[in-house]
This record gives sequence, C-alpha cells and structure tokens, in this order.
Amino acid sequence: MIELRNLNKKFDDIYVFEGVNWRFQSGAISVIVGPSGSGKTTLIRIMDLLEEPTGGSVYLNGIEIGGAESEKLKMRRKMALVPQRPVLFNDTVYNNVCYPLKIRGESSRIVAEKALWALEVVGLKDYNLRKAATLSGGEIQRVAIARALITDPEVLFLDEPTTNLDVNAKARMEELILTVPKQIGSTVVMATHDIAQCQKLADDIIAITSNQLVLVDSPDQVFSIFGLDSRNA
Amino acid sequence: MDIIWESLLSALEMILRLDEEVMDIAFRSLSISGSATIIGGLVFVPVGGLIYFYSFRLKNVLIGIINTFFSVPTVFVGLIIFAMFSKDGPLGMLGLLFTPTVMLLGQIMLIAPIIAGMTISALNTVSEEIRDTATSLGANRSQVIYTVIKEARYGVITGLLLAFGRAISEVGLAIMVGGNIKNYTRTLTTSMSLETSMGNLDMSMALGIILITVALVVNMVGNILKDR
Repeated sequence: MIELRNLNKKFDDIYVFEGVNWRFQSGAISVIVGPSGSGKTTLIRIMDLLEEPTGGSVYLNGIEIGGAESEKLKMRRKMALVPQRPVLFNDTVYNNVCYPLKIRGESSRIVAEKALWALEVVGLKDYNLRKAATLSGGEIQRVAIARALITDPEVLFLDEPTTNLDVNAKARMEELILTVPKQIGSTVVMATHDIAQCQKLADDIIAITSNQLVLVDSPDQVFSIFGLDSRNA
Repeated sequence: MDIIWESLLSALEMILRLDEEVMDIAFRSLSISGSATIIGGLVFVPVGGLIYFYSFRLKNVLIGIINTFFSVPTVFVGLIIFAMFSKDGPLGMLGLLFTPTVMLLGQIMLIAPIIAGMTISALNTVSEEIRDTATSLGANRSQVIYTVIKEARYGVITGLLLAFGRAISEVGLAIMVGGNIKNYTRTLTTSMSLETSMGNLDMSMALGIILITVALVVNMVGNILKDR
C-alpha cells in the first residue's frame, strides 16, 4: 500500500501540493484527475522516486521511502511507471520488455517466460524481434505497459496512458488496465484528465484541487470541483 | 598520366602477389593503430562517461580543452613524446624511443581527446527520459550509466572510427618517435612518405591503396556494428 504523509512540493515558491496526506487503497485502481498543469505528473514522479518532494514522505507498505540510494532502489523495484510519453530503448521489443528483469539478475528462463507472457497480454507476442524505432505510438505505449507489468509490480503508476491513442487502441488499453493489474495483484495509481475514462476505470476518483487531494464520490462531482459544466465537458 | 597508371598497375600487382614488405608494413600499421584504438576506447570511453555523468568544478573548461585537442598537430604530440622518452627525458631510462611501443603510446595520446570528446558529445544526445526510464524500471546507478552509454553507441562507435582514422593516417608522430626503421617501426604512412621521396611511386601507391582499403573496411565494420 502506498501512502503520502504531509507531502509538499513547490516550484519557485509556488506550492503544487501542501501538507497532502493520502492512503491509496491496496489492489484498487485510483484515478487522479485534474486539469493540465495541476501537478498529476509531479505527484506520480514523486511517488515513483524520480523527483524529490519539498517536504513530507512517501510510505510503501508502512516503510518510509528515502535515505540511502540502495533503500530507494529496493523500493523502486516494487513499483513501475508508464509515463505519458514512454521512451523505448533503441533495441528490439523483446529486449525492451526484458530490461527490468535483466537488471534484477533474473535467470534467462524466467526472463523469456515472463517476456512472452507480458507481450501476449498487450497483444504484441509476434513483435519480439521488431526494432522499437519501427513501432507506432500505440504500439510503443503497449510495449511500455508490458515492460512495466513484467515485474508484477506492487504499485503500477500510469500517467495519461491513453493520450495520443486512437479510439480502438484506447479501448484496448482501458480493457488491459481493468483486467491485468488485478490478475497480478497490483495497485494502480493513474493520472488522467479524461473524465469518461475515469468513470470507466476508477475504483477511487481523486481530484487535485487547491494543492490538496480530494476523494470524489462521482464523476459529476469532478465537474463541480473544477467549476465545469458536465454537459459541455 | 602514364606514370600514375603504371604505378597503379604495379601497385596492384604487388598487392595481389602479397609482397612481403608491403604486407609487413600494412600489418604493423594495422596492429599499432588498431591496438591504440582498442586501448584508447577501453580507457577513454569510460573517462568520457565519468566526465559526462559527474558534476565538478571547471567541467566545461575541461570539455573545452578536450575539444580543442581534437585537432592537436601530430608533430606536437610527437615532440612531447620524444621529449619524455629521449635519453635525457623523464622516461628515457625505459629505452622505448624508436620502438613500436612508444608509437602506440603516442597514438593513444593523440586519439584520447577524440574518443573522450566524442563520447561526451554522444551522451549529450541521449534524452533525459532515457535516464529516467532506466531509473524508474529499477536500474542502479551503474546500470543507468551503462544503459545511457549503450543508447549513445552510434556516436561512441563514430568516435572510435574517427580515432582509428586519425591514428592510422598520421605521419609526423610516427616518424618522430618511431624513426621509420625498416622491418621495425615503418608504417604505411611513413613508408609512403619515404618511397615517394625516393621516386618509388609504385610501392607508395600500393601502400596508399592498402591504407584506403583498411580505412574502408574498418568503416564498413563500424557501420555494421552501429546497425546491430
């Protein structure tokens, strides 16, 4: 379970978050909503230890993440992130998907088994030998998901995972997000500004407003929080 | 025109019958410059990586100096090496002047800035996202560095090819510290220089063809490696 305690983040004296306390529900899909620039990506990067908070702490399974680099690494290896615009290494699809297991020193048999499973899950099992540079935007997104799932992460962070995808690819991605993390027991923390998607996927909807996180009862409430008319959204 | 044509035919004939002297010189050139590139790569690619990945005072000044030394005259490097290894120099007691070993050291010194500088330039082209991606996927610091260097491999290989080209084609350093001694320190370029001055254009032409062929083959191998 991932938890934020008194988390602060400011850029140039302007707070993005101030005194945020939050406990994400274990095994659930928590969707963070907010307009562009509200700090969704920053929050996810802080939880994935890619960015330092100005103050406060992130806890994973009750243990504070921080201190020595080796401790951070241990914690980071329990999590996975698919960023808004994933970057693949200049290599084959197979080597991209295997990367997290190879750096963990897993045996080649386990690496091969898990890579085939991950590629099958995202519908790219015949793409093993394809060069990453030849893939479309949607395919890159799916390879990035496979690469994130291959370690069976305790927490899976998805930052706007369907941006730049066409309608079919988006539907397939949403189906994947709904099913696979639950099968492997991952907690999903996802950022989006797509309210319809939020309604479709979320167990919990969390809005970023006034430098705080707020639990939202229904998608309609999101509109009122951000002062939008739901009929026009 | 006739003299060029005749020299060319004679040169091809020497190459086709694997003339012992020509092959000996070609092999020596290739082994000295190839070794210099390999040793230089093993030492100065990581040095370039360290300079890129670590922050320290005067880092930009150091990078500026490295880039300036890309075009250092070979005779200047030759002069430094000569002064160090001559009888009265600080390393004179090693007795290495006019040996292939000192030619190798000189070539390493000559190409070190190219290898380190091109490595730094290549690493600069790797996006910050690659580093973040590797970190986020659970790579430790050395695995992140390895991943970034691997992403920069096209640039690094290009740097090594340039370095090899500079090493095998230089003549001033080889003459100054090698002495152009027959069957010992004579290389393709020093021999070409000597044979041309003696009017042996066919021998000189044969060595030139080999030099171009070696450069071509090494570049082709490099390009194949880059595409892998």
